[in-house]
Amino acid sequence: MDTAGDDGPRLQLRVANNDGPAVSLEEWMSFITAELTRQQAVMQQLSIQLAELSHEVPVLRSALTESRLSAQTLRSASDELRRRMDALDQRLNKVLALIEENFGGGQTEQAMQHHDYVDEYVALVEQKVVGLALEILPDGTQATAREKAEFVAEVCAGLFGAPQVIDEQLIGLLPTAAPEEASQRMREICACARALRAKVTQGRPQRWEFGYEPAPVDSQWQEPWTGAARDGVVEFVVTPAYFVDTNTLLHKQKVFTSEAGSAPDTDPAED
Amino acid sequence: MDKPYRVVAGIDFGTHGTGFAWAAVSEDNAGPGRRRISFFEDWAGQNIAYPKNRSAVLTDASGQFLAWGYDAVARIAAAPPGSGWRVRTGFKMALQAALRDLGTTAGGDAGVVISDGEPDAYRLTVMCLRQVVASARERITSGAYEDEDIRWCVTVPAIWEQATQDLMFKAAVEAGLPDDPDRLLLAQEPAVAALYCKAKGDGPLNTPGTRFLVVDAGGGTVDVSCYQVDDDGGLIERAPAVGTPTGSDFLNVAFLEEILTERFGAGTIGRILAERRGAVADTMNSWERAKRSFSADSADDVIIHLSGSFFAGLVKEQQTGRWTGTGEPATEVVISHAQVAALFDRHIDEIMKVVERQLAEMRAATRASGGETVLLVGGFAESPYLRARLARSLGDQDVRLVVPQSPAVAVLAGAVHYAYSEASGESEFVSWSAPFTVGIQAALPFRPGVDPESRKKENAAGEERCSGRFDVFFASRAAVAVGEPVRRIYRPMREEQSVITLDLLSTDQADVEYVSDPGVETLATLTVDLSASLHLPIAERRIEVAMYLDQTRIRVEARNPETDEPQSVNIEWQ
Repeated sequence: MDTAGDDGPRLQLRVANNDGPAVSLEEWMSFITAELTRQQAVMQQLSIQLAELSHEVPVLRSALTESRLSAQTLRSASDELRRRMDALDQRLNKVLALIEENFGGGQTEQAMQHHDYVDEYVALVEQKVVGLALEILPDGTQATAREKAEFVAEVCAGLFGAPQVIDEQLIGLLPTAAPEEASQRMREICACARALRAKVTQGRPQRWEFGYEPAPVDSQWQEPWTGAARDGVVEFVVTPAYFVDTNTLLHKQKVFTSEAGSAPDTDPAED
Repeated sequence: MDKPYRVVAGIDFGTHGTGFAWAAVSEDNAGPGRRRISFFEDWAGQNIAYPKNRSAVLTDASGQFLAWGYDAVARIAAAPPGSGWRVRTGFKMALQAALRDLGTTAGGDAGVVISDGEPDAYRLTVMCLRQVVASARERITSGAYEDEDIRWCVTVPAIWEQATQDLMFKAAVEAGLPDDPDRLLLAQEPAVAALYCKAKGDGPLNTPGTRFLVVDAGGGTVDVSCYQVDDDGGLIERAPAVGTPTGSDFLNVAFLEEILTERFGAGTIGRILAERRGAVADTMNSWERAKRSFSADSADDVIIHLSGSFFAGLVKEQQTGRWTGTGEPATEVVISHAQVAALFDRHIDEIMKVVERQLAEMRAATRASGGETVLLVGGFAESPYLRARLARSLGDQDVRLVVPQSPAVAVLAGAVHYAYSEASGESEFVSWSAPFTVGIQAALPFRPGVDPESRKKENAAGEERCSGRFDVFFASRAAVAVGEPVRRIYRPMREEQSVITLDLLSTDQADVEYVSDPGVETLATLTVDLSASLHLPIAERRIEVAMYLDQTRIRVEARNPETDEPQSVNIEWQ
């Protein structure tokens, strides 16, 4: 800002406006007044807006509170839904497990015990009963297939086909000349069979199947006794089949086959 | 409920037989002790119900699949002359290179072959597993379950190498199981058998401090693992599992090669094996039954019933003057108790050596001796003779033998328990014992005066590194917490590197420094893609490698720690 005195040539107070050029004080004051008036108008406008906003704030605050409440409600509804979904999921799993248990068709470990009993049954017949047959038959292993089969069949009928295992009846199947040791072995066989018969009554219903048709061997559940006539018809049951449940086969029936004029199974093999 | 699995299924793929079982995931089934496990026994093509089907595949002359299981063994008898059909068995044992040379080709298709070095063991495994998986899926989803509800667990021998276990996973996926390590678990046979025994409450397996061994005597291998029960009832593996390929199928081979050959002469038995393949398989079934009941309690002879066709073959041999056997043909072979016992003893001696080795390992690891329990499981565990021999030998060492109620299904049921506990995030295992030292070849900071100068290298950042270091992740026999990874950070050595190739190494030595140390082997090569980080300064191009060692697999993950983005890792097993 330039400065000047009062006497002499009249001095004029000048100020620099915003653009740089100097203006008179009056002009400057007028500018200031106009600016103040404009600012006042703006302030009034702002004041009006503030008043309007002040009016809106409680509305907004209320809306916010409402939203918060809604969010809480939603969250709790969602938590509730999740809880219900988890509970439903658990119930669904329970229902599925029940369906599986009743209709799934699998066997429990307890029910599977029959496979162990079958092993015991087979070991008893194939090792102990046949072993006794080889011991008491005059020709031992060279006895005919029929001789071996007939002895095993009679013993199996006494062990698994009779209402009870009666030791003396079974010992009676031994030749009169058989040594006392053979009687003792028969008693052991009877004891094993009694124990096995007691076990198989547990769990799944079980039966020893002695029934047969005098027809060719039905390989679905029967197999021929080794050395019997090939392609013959069933003459008698040597060892019974082992069934559980209605018709689940766990061990095939062994049958002796014969046919008038047919030779034992000593022909060349099929392959 | 967060658990995505509504049902868990276990598959016991054995050398001799294969089966599956399953259990519903439900509140009532949560407790292992009262968990209801369903077993399958109605195999298609098999008249007799049995929980396992034969691990056998019938192929035509060009190797294409015809049938499997007992059906395959039965159908070989009806093979058209000159058809070239073959029954393939024992292929599980041939999956692992080290086991391939143990078998015999005797019998060929007789259903007794352990392994004849099948080059296509993998393909046969897939064929067999595909049938098992199809049966399992059909049965489990026949009710209300969907395929995606099922979590699967396939068991593997403990002595299998890492690469073989990986191959098994691949075979299972190719056979139709999900290619997802969360939905398809592999588990070691003795480990899952331990869960079965624990669930049964056999022995003091839920008592803290109890130390026990699991002897899983199967058809192919006998695996032995050892555990200690921790304060919370969890299982700590105390030493890596060991095993021997002397399963009960090897007794079958010995019976065929030694006893039958001795009785009938090499000429006769050779012709019967060649001409009557089905007959031999039937006779082997009779031996299998006799073997299971053979006992030390009596001195009775053992009777093997020949099939009709086998006996007919013997008679024909005699009629045509080619009979090379002793005496006359009979419908059965009677073998003295002593001869069978000698056969068993040879194999049991080998089993005892492995059991004693593992017992010594556990005693050393726990610094305690005596009072251990041995759980005997697996199909061979049904043998009264094996039980008696082990009980006697172990009793002398203050060790008690326990055989669970159904040892033959211990692995199968255990696989279901394992899948169940893992599905519910409640693993019963606390830690594994690292079977070997595992690490990565890396350039680590150079140690003046320690590392040889010849190994000194400078990286792009001007730091001195020692090349060829074995960066150990898991030291041999160290306890590895279940599910806990070991992490390491690596950086590229050179500015222009867009991939980092890492060699995954192993050695039996716990203390190893350099990749050139004796016994160091490369297990696999990992390739980590760095291309997404090339815009960063080299100092920031880092990868974090996380390695997991669980009971069957080494799993590696990599990520960029700056961006947290996973990096793709490709593993090629050697």
